Amino acid sequence: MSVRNVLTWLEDAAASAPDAAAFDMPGCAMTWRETAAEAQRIGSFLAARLAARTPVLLLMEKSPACVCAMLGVAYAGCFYTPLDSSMPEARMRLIGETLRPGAILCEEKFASAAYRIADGAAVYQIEGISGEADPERLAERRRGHVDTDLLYVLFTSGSTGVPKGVSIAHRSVVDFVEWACGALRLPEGCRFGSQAPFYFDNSVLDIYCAMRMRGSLHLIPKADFMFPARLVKRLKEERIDTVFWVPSALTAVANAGVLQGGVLPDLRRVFFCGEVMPCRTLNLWRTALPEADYVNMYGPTEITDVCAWYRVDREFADADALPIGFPCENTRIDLIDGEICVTGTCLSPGYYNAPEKTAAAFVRNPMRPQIPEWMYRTGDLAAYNERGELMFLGRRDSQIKRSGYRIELGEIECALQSAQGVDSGCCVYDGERERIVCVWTGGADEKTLKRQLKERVPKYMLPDVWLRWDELPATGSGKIDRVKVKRIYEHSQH
Amino acid sequence: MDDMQKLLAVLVEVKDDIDFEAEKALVDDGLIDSLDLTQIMLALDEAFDIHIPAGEIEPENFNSAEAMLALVRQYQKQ
Repeated sequence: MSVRNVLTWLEDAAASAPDAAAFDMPGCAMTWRETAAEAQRIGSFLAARLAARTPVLLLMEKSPACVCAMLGVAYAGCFYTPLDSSMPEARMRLIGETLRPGAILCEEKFASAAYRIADGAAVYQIEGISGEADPERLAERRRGHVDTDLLYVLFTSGSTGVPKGVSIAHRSVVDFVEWACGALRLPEGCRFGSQAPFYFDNSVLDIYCAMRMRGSLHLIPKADFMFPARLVKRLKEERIDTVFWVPSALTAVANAGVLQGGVLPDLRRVFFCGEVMPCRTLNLWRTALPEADYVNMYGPTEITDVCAWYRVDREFADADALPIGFPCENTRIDLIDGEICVTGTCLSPGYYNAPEKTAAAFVRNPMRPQIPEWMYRTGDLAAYNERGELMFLGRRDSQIKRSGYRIELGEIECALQSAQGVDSGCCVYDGERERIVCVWTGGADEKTLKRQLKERVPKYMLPDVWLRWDELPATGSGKIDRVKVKRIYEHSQH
Repeated sequence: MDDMQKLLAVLVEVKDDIDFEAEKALVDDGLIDSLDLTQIMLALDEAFDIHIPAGEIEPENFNSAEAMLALVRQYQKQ
């Protein structure tokens, strides 16, 4: 029978490898049996309090307990949104207004923040969830499940200043993970070194592939990525055999000079996604670990993490561009005017509670007017090379990427324009130096403006260059002339 | 201005909302993140005319201003 709910993998792992480690790090080890039991307990608690298909916000650290909470939400027939706990509360509130969660699950240390953003939602501390699993109630929720029910909603930057909630159904995760385990040749019991935060879609592969393969997840502390020597030591000690990281993390390790030949004998699979992988980084890794399998992946959150992939099968010069390769199985990619358009089970049913944004990005397939076949327009441009491989060419709008995070300059501008002491302002991106440049007019100085923006946008969105000008150039229609702003800024750099 | 004063001036320039004289677990308590660390390292390299290689640093080197000063001195000697 085919899998229709991600919990099937959890139950398989708990039944066939009950004592195998699901999480295996000093101080936070759990077996698959314990993980399933904890998820069922949380699920029973929630099912007694929430209707099926209710959104649940998670305000927790990246931890085994957070994975148990996600799976518990799924047991209750509901869907989860993990929040970045370091995000400004103003942005958490915006997400809450869109999602209208029935409950917030949080750790004790985030309880006061959870109450401040709750706005009518029930707040449950994970440490205080009592009671046993209720198999009958869980079975009832499972009977009511269809595979188009949502599993999660992940929020990404939105150009109007309001984050967009990408909703993803069970069937899309099932389709993706079944493909990934086979295509990426994951062995039973593989050991994942997890880098991606849970509010970032790369974590979907880590969590559910580890579960599907009865493997283990090693949640690497964020601080390790600041100290490459320590990170490599950790990978070695924990015998990590699989990583799926953003290229920035792989680049930091490669550039630190800590990759000597033979340093990571267990690491056999190096996968990456989320931004462009520089071939220079790839070559440094390949020199140190020539035996490993390297796979470049591409895909926005809206198509469940990955829709194209390329297994590195030849040499590249440092200055070459790495292909994103071919569509994943059961996924179709059409290039319409150069834009990557995706069709298949992987598609999100839409942005949660945002019909206009959904209608703009999820469109009827123009080549199949006879039926309502949905297609996601990624906004990314690509072309085929002479080998028939897809090559990523960039964005068609003002979205940028930083360490894998999608950033809409519009979201920063929205915060900028509503700041006190700002008459007018805009943001441009200096791609060459990878800097977000913000320019404004008004009484606010850099310091007071920075303080205000910190309360509105996550840190990775904060501009790098702050310029107060006497006036901003305008276009014929009276809008801020961003092209001219960028030209003036660039001119001042030479 | 002695080296400690110079160091504190550099740190405040990078991040003005931390009491670098008082905090003793900047990394362990998560007060500085990777963006801050990158900026701090660049600023130290520039201010003290040294080069601290990313592959050789440990969290202990950045937990306090004193630790950072010790790190700076280590590379000044080389």
